[in-house]
Amino acid sequence: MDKWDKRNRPTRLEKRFEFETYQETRDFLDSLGELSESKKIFPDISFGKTYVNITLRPESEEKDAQITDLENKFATRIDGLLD
Amino acid sequence: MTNTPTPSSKASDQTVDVSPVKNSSTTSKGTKVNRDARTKSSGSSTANSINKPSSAKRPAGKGGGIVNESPKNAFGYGATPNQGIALGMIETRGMVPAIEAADAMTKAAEVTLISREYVGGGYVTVMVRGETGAVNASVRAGADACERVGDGLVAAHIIARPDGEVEPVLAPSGAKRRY
Repeated sequence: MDKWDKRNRPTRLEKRFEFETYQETRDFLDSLGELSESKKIFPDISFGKTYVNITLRPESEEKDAQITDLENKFATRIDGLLD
Repeated sequence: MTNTPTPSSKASDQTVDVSPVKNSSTTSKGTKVNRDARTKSSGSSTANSINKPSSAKRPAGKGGGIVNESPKNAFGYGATPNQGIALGMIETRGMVPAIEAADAMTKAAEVTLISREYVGGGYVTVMVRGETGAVNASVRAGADACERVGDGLVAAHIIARPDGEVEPVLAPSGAKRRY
């Protein structure tokens, strides 16, 4: 789980992915979409032409919810999309 | 005709940074852009759309954006009973890519176009709501469509579970074209 930032208030995992072209960005987004559909985990996504910012929030909506193995594993899977 | 300030100066009642258009033909073309947003407004609303808000014909709390005429949710804003909660937004530079994005988004997946905002400086933001997977696919399609049009895509954002407190912000402000 390389370079995912764990942030607080509220607790979340964030990572920025950079790409050379918009096509690469789109390919990554398509892969991410398929992964999200298969795992039923939908992170917040912010993107432009050559970057994608992903925010993974705890599945629980409680105020003090913490990042669990579920989110950590999903983050690892996202990293694997670039391999 | 005088413009009497209303007790509640809602954004939908305000013209922002725009000189009133007096040419009726030009105005009627302009109102066509918001044809779907104005609730079955008649042609005589031409002047009304500039000097007098057609608030009587618009759902309460609604602005001039593209809205879904459907039962209101708990926050008083239009939402279909089956509307998902995920929110997708695309910001473009210019109106043409914004329309292209909105068209592509609504064609790509089962989403509802809830808002089009002129945010100043030539930037336009369009927003959709729906199920998370649908919004994901929709925003990607919209970004694809507008990326090659004009100055194209500025930014896109997807919030899977917006907090309820955000709902009032998502309603169209009704602000007219800004320069």
